[in-house]
Amino acid sequence: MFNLSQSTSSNIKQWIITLLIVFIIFVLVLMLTVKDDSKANKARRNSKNKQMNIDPIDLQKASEEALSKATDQMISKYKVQFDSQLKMNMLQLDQTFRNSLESITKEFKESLDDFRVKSQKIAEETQSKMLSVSEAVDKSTQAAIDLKKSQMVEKVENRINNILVSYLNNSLEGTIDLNDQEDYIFEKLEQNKSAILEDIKNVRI
Amino acid sequence: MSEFKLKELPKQISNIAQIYQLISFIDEAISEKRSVEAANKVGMKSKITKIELPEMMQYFFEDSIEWNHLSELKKELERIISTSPTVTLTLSGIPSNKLRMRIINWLRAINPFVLVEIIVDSSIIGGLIVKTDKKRIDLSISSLLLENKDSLKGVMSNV
Repeated sequence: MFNLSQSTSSNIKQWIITLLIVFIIFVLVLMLTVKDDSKANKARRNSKNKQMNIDPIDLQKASEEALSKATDQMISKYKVQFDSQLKMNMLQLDQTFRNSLESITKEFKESLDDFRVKSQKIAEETQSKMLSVSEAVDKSTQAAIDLKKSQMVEKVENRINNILVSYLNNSLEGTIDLNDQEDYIFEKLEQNKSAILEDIKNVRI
Repeated sequence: MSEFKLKELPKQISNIAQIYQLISFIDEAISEKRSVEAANKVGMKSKITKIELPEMMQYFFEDSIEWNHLSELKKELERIISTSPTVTLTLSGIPSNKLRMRIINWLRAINPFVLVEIIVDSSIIGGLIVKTDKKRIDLSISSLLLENKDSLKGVMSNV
């Protein structure tokens, strides 16, 4: 049993080594083939160029020129597009500006009209108030004048009355005999008896 | 000893000054009587054998008062001073005795112990001003003129 397995193992090793060698050979062949192929291509291109009689330097110049031409063409194309776009934008801008100006002018006009109406209203109200204030001031002034006038008249009348009373006092003082007043005195006492009685009746010894 | 009680103030006594004067007379009379009695007691010969009540007492109270009433009378009068109401009358002139008595009688009919002060002020022209402890009632002619001075309006225009 042991021998059998040992022989099997050695066989496997041999197979693996063989496979590795085969693989390496394959890789080498492949590399050589690719190298030959690139060389062949290069040779083929050179041969092709040689066939077209084109110098590589010329080719480069030509390609640069072509590139420059293409760039110019592209620039001119975009320039045209840009110009047209710019024109369009200018037109739009002009239109927008006009619209805005119209709108602003309209709003300004409306504001101006509104302001004019309001100003007129305020002016009318102010005038009305001034009129009413003026009337009130006139009335107040007239009332003050009337009051002052009546006060002066009253003052003069009072003064005249005081002079008259004073004159009567001085003239009558001591001229009316007390005995002649007896009836008047008792008449007045009787008239005010209740008031006098109220103060003196309740006090008792 | 009979009890003495004043039923009313004598008509002749109208104001507080007269009451004080009366009290002073009472004190003098009592003092004099005590002096005579003391002199008699110690055997001193005194000229006064019979002590009479002062004439003023007789005048005010007639026969209703005796010596032993004087102390009580004094107390009564002091009580009147402290408790009786006073009415002050302002007149334009000095009243006659008749008018004065009539006024006092009129007031004493309300309160028999009321005290009456009379003041003379000619500037009131006529009538009177009654002043009690709480009120002042002006019934004078001058006040009447001042109160009704408005009725004098137009008088000047007729002058």
